[in-house]
Amino acid sequence: MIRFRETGFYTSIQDKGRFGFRHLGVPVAGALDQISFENSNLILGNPLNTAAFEITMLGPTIELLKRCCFCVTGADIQISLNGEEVPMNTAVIAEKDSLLKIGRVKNGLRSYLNFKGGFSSEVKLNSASQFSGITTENRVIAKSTYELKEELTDLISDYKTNTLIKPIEYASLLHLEVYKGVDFRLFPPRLIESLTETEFAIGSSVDRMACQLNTNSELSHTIDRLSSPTYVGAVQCTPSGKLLILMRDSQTTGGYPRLLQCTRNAVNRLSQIRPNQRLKFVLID
Amino acid sequence: MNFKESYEVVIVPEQGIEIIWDNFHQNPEFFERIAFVYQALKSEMNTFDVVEISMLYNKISVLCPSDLIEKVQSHLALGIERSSGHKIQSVHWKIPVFYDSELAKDYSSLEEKLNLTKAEIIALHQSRSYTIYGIGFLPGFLYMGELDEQLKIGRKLNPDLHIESGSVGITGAQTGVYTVNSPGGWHIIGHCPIPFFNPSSQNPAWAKPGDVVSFFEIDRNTYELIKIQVDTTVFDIKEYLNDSI
Repeated sequence: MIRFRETGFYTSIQDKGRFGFRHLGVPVAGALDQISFENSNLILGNPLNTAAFEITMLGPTIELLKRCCFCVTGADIQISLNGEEVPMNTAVIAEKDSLLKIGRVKNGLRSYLNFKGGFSSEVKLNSASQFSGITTENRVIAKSTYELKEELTDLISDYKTNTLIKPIEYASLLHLEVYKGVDFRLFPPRLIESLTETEFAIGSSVDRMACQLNTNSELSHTIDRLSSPTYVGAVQCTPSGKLLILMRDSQTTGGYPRLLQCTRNAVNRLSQIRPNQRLKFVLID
Repeated sequence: MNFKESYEVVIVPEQGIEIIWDNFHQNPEFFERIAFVYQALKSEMNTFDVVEISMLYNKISVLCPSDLIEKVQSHLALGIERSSGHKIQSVHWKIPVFYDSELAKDYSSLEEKLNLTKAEIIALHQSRSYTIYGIGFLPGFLYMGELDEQLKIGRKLNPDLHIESGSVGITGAQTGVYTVNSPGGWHIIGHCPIPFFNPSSQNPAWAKPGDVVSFFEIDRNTYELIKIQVDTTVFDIKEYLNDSI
């Protein structure tokens, strides 16, 4: 068993996501940085959809009440096991009654903590991903305990850091690959220039629902349409010209026109961007 | 306008396709055929690996790997062909609402803005059957319309930070029931004791696009009673099917 002494800033359980219920208004949810999430399972030799803890900015402090093997991927973050620093992207063995302390993110925004064999948590509609209205809680709460599913055999001892995993990029200016969105045609063609030449500042809100960019009045419009389906990575444009990039917890329908569509990989990279960073769109066909 | 010729298939890169009927406002009768195409796609596509099919108003969205798009398009063409003359599978639900000004705090401002009494607002809300145009916004939230002209009112300028699950709201030509606690900008006129979404069931919602909903007024006692039925799982949604349709 593991017990959360402190939960950190925002820690939630996430897997690949919840599929097959979008037509009922259920967002896909799941790990925002799917690549770092998948890496955590690759490192541990887990089935690739084994749920992990998604950590945001400041990590949890966890009592490991059983001998276990864990790893942390994604945003570069301080990790200490019984007071000793341990590396990222490495399967680490912890003896029974160890204390795992995950500190502050150094680069990027979100890290993934995973355990060999996975841990038991509430599964709703075929997914462990926490989401308001679907699972009982939308995040890990203090004092929560989770059973580890696998007994660690004594044979496991020799783990190495996976050096093939690229560290999360950190750049003050992120170039984000986007396609034209479903409603691009509703906007005047001259917009392409201001879209691809402008440096957009990331607004103060970069949560699991959306990444907000600061308002650009050149993009203001009067398009008023019936609500439409939304897509993860869709870039909505509000009438005042604020761009909202929809992340995996965003509602499945929405009223704002969908100006651009991020590549899947752009969504993974975007989940590591912080409020003080800037981005530029690179339009691809 | 010809239904078969007035749609457009837009590629949503790396996601799938969206099918849009553009002149929907001028042709409201298209909706039933769009719902038919949606139902046909949904029943036929289970056999291969389409991830999601959903619809709202004049649009059908299909999320699938790009190598399946061609197959989806041929099923789509077939569904559109068959949509003339076929009736959709549609159910009429009669849903109880407790129209209470203590729980629904917006009556005083609504009476003033709509220039109607509370009794008139309640009567007008019950006077029609509403089509379910799609599900979204919240898990199990039904987009329903069209409201009587006299009830049309814009969204609140300052959305409420907390609207309780079960709240019945109106805005524009739409009415809907909040399925989970949420912020929201609709005007609240009542409360519904029936759950619209159950995440513990593999069939979490009982309604579908194309179904019809009408509302009937209940008093506080009945409201409390149905809530107890729900809590004790004695409740059965089938009791709220309208047999006359």
